[in-house]
Amino acid sequence: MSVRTLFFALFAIVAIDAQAATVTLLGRPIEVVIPNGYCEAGNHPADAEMVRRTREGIGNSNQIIVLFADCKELEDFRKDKRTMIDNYGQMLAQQTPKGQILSFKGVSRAEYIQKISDRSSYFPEAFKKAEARAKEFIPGNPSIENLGLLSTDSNGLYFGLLMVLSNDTGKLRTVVGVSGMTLVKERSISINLYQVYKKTPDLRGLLTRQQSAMANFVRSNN
Amino acid sequence: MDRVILKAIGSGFIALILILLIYIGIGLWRVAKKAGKKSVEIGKLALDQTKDHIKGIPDSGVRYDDLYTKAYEEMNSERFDSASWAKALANAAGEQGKAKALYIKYRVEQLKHE
Repeated sequence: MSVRTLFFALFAIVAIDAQAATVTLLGRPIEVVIPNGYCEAGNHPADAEMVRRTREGIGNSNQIIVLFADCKELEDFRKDKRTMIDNYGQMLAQQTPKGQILSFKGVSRAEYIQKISDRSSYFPEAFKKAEARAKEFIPGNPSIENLGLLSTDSNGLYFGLLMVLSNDTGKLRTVVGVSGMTLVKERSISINLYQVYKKTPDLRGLLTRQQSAMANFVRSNN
Repeated sequence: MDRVILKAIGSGFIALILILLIYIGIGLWRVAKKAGKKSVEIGKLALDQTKDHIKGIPDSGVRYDDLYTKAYEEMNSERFDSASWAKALANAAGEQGKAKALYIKYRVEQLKHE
């Protein structure tokens, strides 16, 4: 069995769960809703590297529920017509450093949102810690801007980051990532959406898409 | 409960940052694979360049009036440098007036290194 095939076999387990559209987290079934316009990644041999590195990178900090990407871009990526996917995302369940799914027994979504908002002063510290970990994993010295808490609504809260990359021809590309965090069935879940921009980033547009994805997810799990 | 909240925030940030870098790494790896070069070298180059673009260089204390003029003219004619404009917009939370002011600041910092 080749290494590539082995990876595919391992990650097929994730894919089967996602196809069933339900995952069980500490005994609670969570309905998986992939945002509109995106298709599930991880269920094709060409995605193996993406899934492997994602799992390796995040370690115990989160459990991957589903990876997804813009449908057309994913198709082209699989056919080797493009090297990089510009629009992608994930749904993740937050865990303790030991890999235990975080559980908020008796806590409502509104309380969870309020508690995290109240601790927004901790965001820069958390961001620095995450950045330090990224530096251990990624060569070079990546610098990323913390955009902080962008918005909150009744479904969740949203924070973001921005990174400007230069390719080998000197052209600039801006990557914006928005993470939406929510509580469903006492489990802390995040939906991350990323977009690469060749020109001015449309942060508001990405945030709107994120809020819409979060609303659909929460509605399906109420 | 407070401790668990902090863990949730920490885990959220770790995933957001790491996955972004991982996907970029995968893209660079695929480019390198096609080009037959070492992905690590290309990845390091790109990430180093990113650092320069974002951080800028500390002010040397010299006045750069012509750079301010250039940045101001770019802003007036709306021929924005995309990196400076993106950073300004991000830090102004989308507010145009504030973003324009920040654009001048960031663009001048960038021009100092050109």
